[in-house]
Amino acid sequence: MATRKRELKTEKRTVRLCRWLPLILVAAIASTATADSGDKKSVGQVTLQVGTSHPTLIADKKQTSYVRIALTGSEIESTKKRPPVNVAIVIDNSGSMSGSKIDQARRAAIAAVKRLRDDDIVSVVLYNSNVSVLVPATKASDRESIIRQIESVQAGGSTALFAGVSKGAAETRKFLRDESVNRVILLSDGQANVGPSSPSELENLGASLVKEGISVSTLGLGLGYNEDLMSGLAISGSGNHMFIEEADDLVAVFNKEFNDLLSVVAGDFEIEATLAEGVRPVKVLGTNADIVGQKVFIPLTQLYSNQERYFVLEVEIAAGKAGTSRQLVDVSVNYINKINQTPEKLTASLGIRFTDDETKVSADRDLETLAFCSVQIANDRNRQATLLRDSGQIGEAEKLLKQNTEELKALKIICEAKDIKIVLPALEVNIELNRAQASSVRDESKWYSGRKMMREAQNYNQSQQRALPSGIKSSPSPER
Amino acid sequence: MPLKILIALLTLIAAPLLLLGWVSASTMRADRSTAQRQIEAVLRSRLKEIDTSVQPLFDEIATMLTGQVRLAIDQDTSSGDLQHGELTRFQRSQPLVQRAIIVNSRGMMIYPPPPPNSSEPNRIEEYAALKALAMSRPRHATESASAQTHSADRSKAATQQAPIPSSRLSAPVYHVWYRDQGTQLSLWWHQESGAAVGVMLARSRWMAELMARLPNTPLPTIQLAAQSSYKGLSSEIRQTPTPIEAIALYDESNRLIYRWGDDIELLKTPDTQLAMSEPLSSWHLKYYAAQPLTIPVRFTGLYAAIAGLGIVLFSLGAYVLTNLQRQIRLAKSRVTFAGQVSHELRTPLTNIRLYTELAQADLEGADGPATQRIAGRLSIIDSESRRLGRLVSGVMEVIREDEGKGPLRLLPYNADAVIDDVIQQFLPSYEAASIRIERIRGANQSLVFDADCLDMILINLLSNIEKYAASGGIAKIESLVKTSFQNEILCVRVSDHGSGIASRHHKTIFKAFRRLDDGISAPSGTGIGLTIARRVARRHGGDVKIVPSAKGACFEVTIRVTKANMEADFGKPLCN
Repeated sequence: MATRKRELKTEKRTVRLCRWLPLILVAAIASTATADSGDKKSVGQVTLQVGTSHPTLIADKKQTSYVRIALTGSEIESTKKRPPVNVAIVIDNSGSMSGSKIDQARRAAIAAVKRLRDDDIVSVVLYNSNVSVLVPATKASDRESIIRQIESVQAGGSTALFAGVSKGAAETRKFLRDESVNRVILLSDGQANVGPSSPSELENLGASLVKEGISVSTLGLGLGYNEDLMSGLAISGSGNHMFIEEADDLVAVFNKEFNDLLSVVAGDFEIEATLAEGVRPVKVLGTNADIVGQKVFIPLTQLYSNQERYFVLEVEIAAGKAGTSRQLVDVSVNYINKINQTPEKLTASLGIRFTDDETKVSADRDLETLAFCSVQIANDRNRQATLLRDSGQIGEAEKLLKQNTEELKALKIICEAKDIKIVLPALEVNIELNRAQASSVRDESKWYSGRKMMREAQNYNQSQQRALPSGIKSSPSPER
Repeated sequence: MPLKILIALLTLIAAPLLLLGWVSASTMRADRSTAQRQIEAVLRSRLKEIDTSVQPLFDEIATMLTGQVRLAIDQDTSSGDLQHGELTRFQRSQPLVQRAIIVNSRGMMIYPPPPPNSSEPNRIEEYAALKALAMSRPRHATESASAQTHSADRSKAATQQAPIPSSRLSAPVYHVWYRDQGTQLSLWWHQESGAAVGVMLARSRWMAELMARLPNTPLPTIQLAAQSSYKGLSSEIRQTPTPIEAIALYDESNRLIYRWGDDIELLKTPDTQLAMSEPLSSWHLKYYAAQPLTIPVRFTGLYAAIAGLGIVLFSLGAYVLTNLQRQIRLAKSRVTFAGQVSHELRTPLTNIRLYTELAQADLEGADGPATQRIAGRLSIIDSESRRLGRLVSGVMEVIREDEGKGPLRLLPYNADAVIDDVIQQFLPSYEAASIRIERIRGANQSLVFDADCLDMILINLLSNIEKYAASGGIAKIESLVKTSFQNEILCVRVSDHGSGIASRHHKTIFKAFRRLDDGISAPSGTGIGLTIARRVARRHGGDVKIVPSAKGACFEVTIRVTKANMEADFGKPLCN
């Protein structure tokens, strides 16, 4: 028992580490941004960076390449006003939440409400078998009565998760404004068992909410929740998904979620990548992008202060003649600057060259982009490994995870040699993650929490979580 | 006798109780089913209300999307955008829309464009599904007709690809399609040429909107609790009241979509359900009551009423029964007393007659006016004591129902002589009442019978004439012997010319203590004469009947007799 606990703790630390590391990473980007990492544009609140893993390609050959589109939110000046927040806190008060869980949930929600400004909008929705609107969408100025309401929450019943999110979104919609940050925060510890409850149904709901500018974050509490459903909802809902094993951590995680929420700098993104002739879009890794002809539309609801989000677009490039160069992609980004409430636009474009020289291809590789793309590719594989493990193909899952570990290790060695420091933390985290998972995939006793951690990490990688404020660069001290 | 009464009494008690029970039970049943129907009607109207309240959602969606689709299509048309850029934008930005579809007049899906062959399987699959949806779209009324008339235009491929001007689009039509998770809604706008624009709605989204429109579950009222549930904070505990009802929405395959109301199990069959309106007509709203909705039948009241009535009836019955028993006992003891008295009277009567006869015998031979007078008086004593004897015998006959039926003393007599003897007794009184006797003798032969019985019968009949029919002035006594069924029957008809007896009284006159005129002015009598006569005659295997006659009353006495020479039958009672 003690051994298992220690193991869990180790893994937890790993996950915690991976939660914080990208912060370092983005901070590094901010300081070491180089000219050779593709086209970089910055207007107002957001920086756009487009790069490809192989700017030089071998001639006369059809090949697959990766394009990385990165957006970075600027730092909020503490003196400036942050955008108003419109948040629905959706709390699972089913029977399984009774005891310390609901107690912590109350505390977390109260702490969150206390952090809101008077012009923020808050609503609290409870769901078990039925859905009750505890606090209809209202200005946070009447904090006392909201808190009193939250204090009276009790647990009991089943879990109507879909309806809970629906009602939470409906509350948010009452005060839906472009300038505010609209979010539904869902807290659950159980399986959805009343109403629509398949991951795809919830993903579609999340995707639909994103279209109108409402993002959904999901907090999974304990070992009983459906991580596929919760992480799927968060990914499609353009929010965060967090696995909280101990109820005691809830307040801290909630706080963190609120940190994100309160640091949104830009929103309502319209990211459009137009691929040139001869380049076919295949998919956007880990993102439910809309590909129509040569155009790729990537959904993104908001960008936090100091957060970098990047999307990896897999493309198929038709054979080109040596010595020629060709247009690869045009990227345009429209968004609302949430600080001044003004619409802003960024554009960037990228070309590629063809050569006969293999060594030149290798030498020209954009290792930074390649590394980030590799992380995403590994993440895709990690998902596959989860699927394989679910269907009982433990050996295959382990193989994929080990492959991830090896490939990322090899990449890490090259990057170290070339002294590209900013990618090292992400690589290290993922190497460690895949290694740890490869070892836990066989152990039935660790699988429950292991799988949830995997989902959290996958979601985390996919959404390239937020960056640290530039002040904190290393050894993060988690709030918990 | 008391057993019969007891049974009658119990029936008397049980019958109304059963009747009452049955009537009220059936009334209750009827009430219950009426109430049930009413409750169901109320609940259905509630469900209907809910259905009506969410229905605008689909109209709003249709109206809103119609505007947006028209705008997008118009913009695409005016800009000549064959890629349908605006429609794509609309599809991407409208939360309610999953996919937009354009079908040309040939029925070919021209938007979205087919995905490249190397695309991911789910994209190819989705495209195939959209194609299937486009095929199954609701057809415009004029479509099939126009498809033929427009066939000439089809050679122009360019027109097929051209975007459709929105002005020629019909009103939107909802189309229900089942795929993946279940019901998928799509909206279609048609054009006369047969082309159509469709929008596949995002299933999760319209479900979420539907849920948002459906009622929330009201929170239980807050009650202040003295102690906090967790340290440091005073908290208010929500008291959970007793659950009353829950309403749930189920989809076409009976999966629970949304529920509200109290947290009760939905395992049982719903108390009532209602299909939603179009387009979700395959979905159902179901109402569940926490407690069975049937009006709790308060049988206690009914039981109490029945029990109360039972007690009342029973005590009444018991009262009647005990009273009756007392009466019967009293009557019995009276009868016994009368019997004993009568019996006791016999002995002195016998002695009186004996001594009267002795005195008469003593006077025989003596002569003189005094002797004559004494003899006359003795004969009066004799006749009166005989009369008394007859009375006593009569009484005994009536009251001693069972024991009085002693064996008949069957001896050979000349029947006419016996009859004449009786008539003889009445001569003095008949003379006094100036009743003439007419005698027809038809039984002048020796027959075996109980002369006392015949005596008693005739005396009663004759004295009745004396009492009631003296006005007629005539008494006719006719005797004859008949043979029927190997039996000899002695038949005596006694008739008068009095006022007669109305035919409606013919049956009752033979009943004991029944007198036609019981007034004070009526002649003295006990009302048992005819009863005695009939009883005795029946005891003797015969009867006394009243027979129709032209004038007055005519009684026919029949008794079974045997001829005197038939020695073998002697000593064998004729009747038991």
